[in-house]
Parts: sequence; structure tokens; C-alpha cells
Amino acid sequence: MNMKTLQTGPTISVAHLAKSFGQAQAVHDVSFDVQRGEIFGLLGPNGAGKTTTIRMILDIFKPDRGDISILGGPITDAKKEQIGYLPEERGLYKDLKVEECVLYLAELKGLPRRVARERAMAYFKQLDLIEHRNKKVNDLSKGMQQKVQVITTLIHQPAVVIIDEPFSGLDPVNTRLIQEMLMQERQRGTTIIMSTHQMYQVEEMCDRIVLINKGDSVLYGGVDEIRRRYADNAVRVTVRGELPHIDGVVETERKGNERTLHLPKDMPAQAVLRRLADAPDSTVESFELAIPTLDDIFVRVVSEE
Amino acid sequence: MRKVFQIARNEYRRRVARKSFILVLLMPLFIVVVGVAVSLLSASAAINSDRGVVGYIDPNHALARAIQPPANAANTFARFPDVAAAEAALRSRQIIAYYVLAPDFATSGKVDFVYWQNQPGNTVKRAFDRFARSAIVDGSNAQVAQRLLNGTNFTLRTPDGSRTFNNNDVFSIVMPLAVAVLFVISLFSGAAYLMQAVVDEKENRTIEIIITSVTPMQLMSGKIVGLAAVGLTQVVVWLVAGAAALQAARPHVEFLQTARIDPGFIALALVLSVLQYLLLGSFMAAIGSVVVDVKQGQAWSSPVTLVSMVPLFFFALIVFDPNSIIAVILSLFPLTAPLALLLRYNMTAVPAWQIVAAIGLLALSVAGAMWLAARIFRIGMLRYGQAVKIGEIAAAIHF
Repeated sequence: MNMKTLQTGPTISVAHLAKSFGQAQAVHDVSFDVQRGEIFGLLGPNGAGKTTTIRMILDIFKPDRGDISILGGPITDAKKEQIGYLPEERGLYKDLKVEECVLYLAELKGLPRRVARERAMAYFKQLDLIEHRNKKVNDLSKGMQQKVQVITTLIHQPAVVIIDEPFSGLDPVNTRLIQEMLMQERQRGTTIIMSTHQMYQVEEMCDRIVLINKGDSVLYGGVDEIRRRYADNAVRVTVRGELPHIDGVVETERKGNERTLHLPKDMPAQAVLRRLADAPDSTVESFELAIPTLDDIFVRVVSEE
Repeated sequence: MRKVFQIARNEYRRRVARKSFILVLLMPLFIVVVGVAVSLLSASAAINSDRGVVGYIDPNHALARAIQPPANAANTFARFPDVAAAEAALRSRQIIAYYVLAPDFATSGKVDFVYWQNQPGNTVKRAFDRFARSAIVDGSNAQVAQRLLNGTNFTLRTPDGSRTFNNNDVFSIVMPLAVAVLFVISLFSGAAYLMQAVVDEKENRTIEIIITSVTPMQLMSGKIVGLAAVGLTQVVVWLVAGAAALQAARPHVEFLQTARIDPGFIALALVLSVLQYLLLGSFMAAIGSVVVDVKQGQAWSSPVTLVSMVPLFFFALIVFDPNSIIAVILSLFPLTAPLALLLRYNMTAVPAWQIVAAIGLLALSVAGAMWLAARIFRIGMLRYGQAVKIGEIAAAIHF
């Protein structure tokens, strides 16, 4: 729906959420806020409690404890029409034709059939599915089904989109296409929660993240801020020729032509760059501060936990 | 309500478009058409070969006062002085058969029947029986004789006159049986569709998406209503085809000529069908949501199916003693009420209070079952590849 709920504060607010199934505690204590118009990464290893958290936000499960606010308050039937959901377990009616399936799911989100048809046609063109719209879903490749699934998630122009592994099964071209669609959604002001294990996608697309491990939120904040927070005093360099000896370097790691030089806390990176530039037998090809990737941080945090 | 309608419409379109539905719809029609055609052909052949004069040799004038059927009747009777004369008439095709009455026919009733090549059917025998019996009654008063020959024709009425039943209608025995068979086929296949639809939804993984657009109750209601419409389509097509077949067969089949279809019976059948479907459907949807696959679902649903079919096990009792306590109990118990009531309806004058009570109890059960099913559905819907335990179901109902 085009309608957006007027509200101040976060679009989604989750506070001290907990949920058990019998003896198994799926979510212990998860808290985070998602601001309007941001892409928010919901990260964590398998079985951390991400899907259960999503299902509680969507009112599929009732939490045992904690509070959830979405679009300014508790979830209602009307608000459900402002949410687009792409679950990890993909779901389409295999025996229906592609267009029929999309229109049916759009209608259930409150979209009039005529509008749904217009938008569906636009998406089919954009995602190169126009030739396949009258085929049965079952006759499509996995990648095509994934694109249809994305259409059903976005067709009603939701205020909130929750997507779980949106790029699985897609080739690089279609991955880029879906990525661009999600970025356009963000520009439109849509709030997006994205759960994925592809950390480079998170770095590229997400503004902020929460990392859930064993049912607890263990890392929360802006992507750049977290990467800086976990950065050691180190530089990554690529040089042609012999790497000169640099006084003060604590440890050197080599990965291909690239070397990571770990420095003492009080040693500025400029000192290393100056020494490299002065070295007569080597040429600096690249030089950057060694900020850890989210992948590194993910592994480090989860391992420490 | 809009979403319930959308889900119902989707379910209806998906099911009706399937080849299996078309097959289930057309197969009974095909059987009826073939059956009617065969019986009409054979009836027509039999009628033609059975028409004509039937001779009899009556040495002691036992049938002297017998009343001759009207001239336009299928069979009239001609007396022959001896076997030789009758034999000659038979050979020259003047008569189609002849009876030889024993000298002590008046006391023993013994008679021989002689025919040429093809044995005439029962209509000839019945006509001769009637002709012979007419000799016993006083032939001077044809109207009284006719009355005696026709026997009694009583109508059963409830004290308030709200329900009546005529015992001379053979059709009334055939009709409930036919409707009961239709009922069982359409209801149970419809309920099985519903369980299949829920299991499909889980297997397709669409349930997790749908449930973010509608409530479990809306989803359940939509499916139940949609598939009820599928069942209703089946029943209506079959009823219309059945009525057409009946109309076609009526002039050629004797007992159908006096048959009438009670509109009250059809209305009751429709009301009970819809309610029973909703009740079974709720159970089946709940079962579909907690099982892993259709096979397991069939195992879970068989007790419900068996209980609903109990009236068929008591068919003889219900038909021959339709007011027995067991028949009444089966008419009031919601799962068995529709079948039991339909079987009894044309066997006796079922008191109006029993019909009202049965419908009321059934409607209440439907409401309870739908509520219950939505609760169970909520815990079972996202269990992929893993059945829900009885304890969890009990907890969900209690919660």
C-alpha cells in the first residue's frame, strides 16, 4: 500500500524479546530498533533465533516476554497489509500460473486486482519474466521462482519489508537486479530488515545491524561504526619489490601479495606509509587501514561467545 | 470477510480446474447415463415382447368371475378349452404364453406356465396374478373388487401434521439410499480435498506468507468455504443430472411413475450437507495442519470418517425400524446426524423437533469445531516435516 503510517521514532522496536518452544529457548533476550527508510541487517549463525524473532515481529508467534512495536504500536490486521515478507522457506502455489499466483497474493495484501495486474506487468518486464507469466510456477527455474517471490513481497509497496536470504538461488546479474530494487525501495522510504549470511551484501547494503547469537543480541549498531570498533591498529599494503623492514611493526600477515602489518597502539599509520615511500627497492601499489570485514567480526564474536 | 472470499475463490478455482475434479464429477454421471440407457433399452425390449394376449386353460371354471383387464392393457387373457388349442394359438403367435390351471386350482393355486422360446417377464406374471385374484372377489362390484386388489394405501402422519409419509412409494426406499451414497462420496471427497489443501499449503511453504496477510481463522474459513462450494457444485450437478435421468426413465419404469421428490427432502439434504461439510472440513483442516503428509493425515482422519459413516452400518435398522432409539440417537449426534436423518426421512415421519434439534446441534458443533481447528492450525501450520504431538494440541486448546 502507498499509505504510510505517520509516526515518529523507530519503525520497528523490539525490546527484550523471549520465546521458548517446550524446553528449547529459541530467543532469550533480543532488543533492537529499526529506523524508517533504513536497511537493517539481522545477522546470526544458524539456529541463533533470527527466524523466530522475525515470526514474532510478524505476529506469527506470540512472544513469551518482551515488547514489539511496529509502525507506531502493536501489529494489527491493517498493518499486516503494509508489510512485505520473504521467508527463508520460499512459498508459491506451484500449480498456479505465475501471474495468477502474484495477483492472488497481492489481493490478500489489499491491492485491487486491476492495480495488482498493472504493477505485476511492470515487475515482469523489469525482471524479464514477461514471457513466463502464463507458465505454471512449477515450470520455472529456481532463480525465476525467486524473482516471482520477490515480486510478491514488494508488489503492494509495503512500508516494511522483511526478507530472509533474498539472494539465494540468484545468479550475479539477478542478484544485482534485486539489490537495485531493494535500494530503490529504501529510497522510497521503505524500512527493510534483511537477514542473510552473505556478509559482503550486508556491508554493501545495510545501514545498521544486530547480531543475534544463542537467542541474545550480542552486537548492535551502524555497520561502519562496528567495523571501526573492531579494528586493530593495522594497515594492509601491497608493494612491488621487497617489503622494507619497518621498526615497531608487531606482526606481519601475508595473503597473496597483500600484507597486513599489525602496529603498536601508539604508532600512527602515516609512519608506515612514510617508511614505505622512502624505501628505494619497493613501490607501494595499495595502502589502507586494515578495518575488519563483517565476516571477520561475525566469526570473532560468535567464536568468543 | 473480503479475504475469506478471496481465499475461497482461489481454492474453488484451483480445485475445479483440476483433471481429478472433472473425473470425479463426470464418472457418476457417466454411470447414470449408461445405467439409464441400458435399463431403458432392456425395459423397452421386455415391454414389447411381453405385450399381447395370454391364454389359459381352466378346466373347473375357477376364473369364471375374473375381471378382464382393460382392452388397452399390456396383457389381456383368453380362455382355451384345452392344451392343444392353446398350443396351436401359441405356435401361430396369437398368444405370447398360456397358463394351465390345475383341477384343484381353487384350493391349491397350482398352475403351469408355457411359453414359446423367450420367457415373458414378471409383468405378465403380475398381470395374471391380479387377474386370478380378481376371480375371488365379488365381480359384481368392480370398484370394490379393484379396491381389494389394490390393498391398503396408508399415510403416516405426526400428531401435529408437520410430517407425513406414504408407505406405497418404492421410490422412497431407493431415493434415500441414492442420496446417502451421493452424500458420502461428495462429503468425504470434499473433506479429503480440504486436508490435502492444508497439507499442500504446508508443503508449498505458502502458509508462512499467507499467514502474514490473513488470520488463521480467515485462512481456515476461506478454505472450508471454497471447498464447500466445490462439493456443492458436485452435488448440484449430480442432482440435476439425476433429476433429468429420472425424468427420462419415468415413463418406462413402473415404480418411478408414482415417484415424487419431496422438495423438503432436497432442502434438508442441502442444509445437512453444508453443515456436515463444515464440521468435517474443520476437523480435516486441523488434522492437515498437524500432520507431515497426506498419508499420515488419512490415518488421523479415519476415526472421524468411520464415526460419520456409522449410519450406513445401521442401514437395515434405520430402514426397517426408523423410530428406534438408536436411529434417533444417530439422528441427533452431530457427526452421524445428516446421514441418519436422510435415511430416516423417507422411511417414517421424522418429528419436526428432531430435525430442528439435529440441525441446531450440528450448527453449534460447526462453530466449536472451526474455533478449535483455528487454534490447532496455529500451532501446526509452521511445523515442516514434523508432526505435532497430542500434548501440544491439548495445550493449544486449553490456552
